[in-house]
Amino acid sequence: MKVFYACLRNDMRVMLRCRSTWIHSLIFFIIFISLFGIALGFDSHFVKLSPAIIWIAFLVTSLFGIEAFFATEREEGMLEQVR
Amino acid sequence: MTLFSHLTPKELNVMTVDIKNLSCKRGEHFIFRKLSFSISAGELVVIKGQNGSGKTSLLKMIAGLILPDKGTVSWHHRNITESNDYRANMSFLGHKNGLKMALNPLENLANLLALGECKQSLPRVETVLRMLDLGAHCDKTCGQLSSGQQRKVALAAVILKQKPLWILDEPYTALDTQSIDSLNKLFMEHLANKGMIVMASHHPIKGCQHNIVNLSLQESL
Repeated sequence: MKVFYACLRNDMRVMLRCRSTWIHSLIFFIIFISLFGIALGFDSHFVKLSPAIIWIAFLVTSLFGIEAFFATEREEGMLEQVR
Repeated sequence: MTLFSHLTPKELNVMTVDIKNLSCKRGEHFIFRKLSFSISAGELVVIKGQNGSGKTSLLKMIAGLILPDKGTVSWHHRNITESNDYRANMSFLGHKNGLKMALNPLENLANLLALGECKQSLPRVETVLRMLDLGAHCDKTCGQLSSGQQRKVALAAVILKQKPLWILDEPYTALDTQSIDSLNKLFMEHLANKGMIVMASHHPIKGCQHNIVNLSLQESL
């Protein structure tokens, strides 16, 4: 668990310093949800569908990151250092 | 007093890595075959060979990062694929440094030590960083450091992990003469403490009073 927390702490630190890696995804996430709102109208119907919209937006946004899953760590040689 | 506190003196004396009949294939061709040698406590094995002769592949096989096409690598007479304690006693540094460019040297060292499940006291960290002339660069991120300085941070992590076996692929890459001398002193210190080093290097090792075994990969074909 110590290794897990160490990785988590470092990834959070790197994310805070390199905001460009996640800020685009966040903007896309917000625009995606907003477009649903514009298309369906911001009424009770939208509120009813919002959990599904949020999950779909989350899934689509996460596709951006899947490509780079472990790619940075492999490139940096970090994977070789994991015991 | 030994640096490897988790090992008993008896374990230190019988510590060996045995490489038996190791072969590496690339496509249909063997780049080396039936390679056998041992690394004992206090011994430095330097692997030499032309580009593409399989030095990196051999080191990765010894580190257990790739499986050999034939042959075995054993630690304490047990195949490393079955040995639970091999990874705990080994530190590997390949061509890539394993550093996060957004983090400073101290943060990177803390990360690498955590990945190796090691702890180290701050005075020892400072001593090693000073020896490698990195003391004045700890406030910069690794992305702001030169290639040589980044290499020294990665080497500092290997040193600070205090594992008995070091597997190093071209450790002197991008280092200046003064840094190479400092690094050699740290290598000698490790060997004097009954550590073992296996490395691929084209650089001659000067001032070494310890057992150096030169291994040429061309001869194993």
